[in-house]
Amino acid sequence: MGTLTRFQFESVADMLLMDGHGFYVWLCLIAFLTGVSLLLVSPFKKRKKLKQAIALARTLNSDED
Amino acid sequence: MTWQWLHKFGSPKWFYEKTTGLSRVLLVASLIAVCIGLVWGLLFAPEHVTQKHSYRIIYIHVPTSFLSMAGFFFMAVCGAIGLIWRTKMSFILMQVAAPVGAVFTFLSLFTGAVWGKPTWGTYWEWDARITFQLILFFLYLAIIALNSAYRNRAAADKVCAVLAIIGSVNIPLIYWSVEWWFTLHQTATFKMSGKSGIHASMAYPLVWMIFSTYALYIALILQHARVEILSRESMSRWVKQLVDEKA
Repeated sequence: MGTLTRFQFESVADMLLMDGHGFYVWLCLIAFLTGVSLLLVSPFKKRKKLKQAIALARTLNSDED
Repeated sequence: MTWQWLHKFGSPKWFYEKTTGLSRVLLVASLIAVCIGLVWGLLFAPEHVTQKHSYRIIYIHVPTSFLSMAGFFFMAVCGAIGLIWRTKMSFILMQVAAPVGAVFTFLSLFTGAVWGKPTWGTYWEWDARITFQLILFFLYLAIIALNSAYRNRAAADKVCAVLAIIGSVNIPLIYWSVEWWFTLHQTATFKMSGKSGIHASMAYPLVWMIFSTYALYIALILQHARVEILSRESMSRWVKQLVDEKA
């Protein structure tokens, strides 16, 4: 279990550099977080726009009545 | 009576109401689980003997690759159910799975390319698995493009369903390409039978990340599907009432 819970780096700089492999690992992490963030944000933005459009249509219809 | 649950599930209103609480809980839980998995894999899993720290990309690459294939299979199944039983929800789920799957497939290709540089010495190679994965990405884009090209919603759903079913032929090609052809891409890390080629201390965070990413995928599909339901049912009374209640 020891190997499962041991932090593998001696310092923050060591963690960022990863013996020269840090660029590749962190680039993948950034891409993953960006992709997931886009998928998380888009339905909330679409929902907001949609509800505004529905509310506006309701207001216009009630004005016509 | 036996098929009553299927018809209930096929109702957008029923689906929307039943997933209100579940979608939020699953989204938060899966995001926490993914964060734990990333910290575990990127910082706490032991270093690989030959690939050194670059192998840590496996904790992003493998889950996104699994979901890119499983996501397309899910689309094909939804498309087939939609064509056979004409359930609205099947088409909604199929359509929202396309952009989510496209992002996961892009991430799979991107992380694979970045991992390839320190491991193989190149970002890209026209290897069988990588090429089929690229075709999968184009299939996702084709479904997104077809969906937006049609004004008639029913026609768009049917055409996209047919393409999803035909395109699913690509899934076994991706999965078994490393066994059928001599390729640069390594064979499966996990095997259904026999001994897996990965130590338990590296496998546990990977299994955790795979399950967490599956949960995140389901949560994202629910979020996107709920908005798509509101969009498609915007003229119905229950959606108008919902908007009034929230206002």
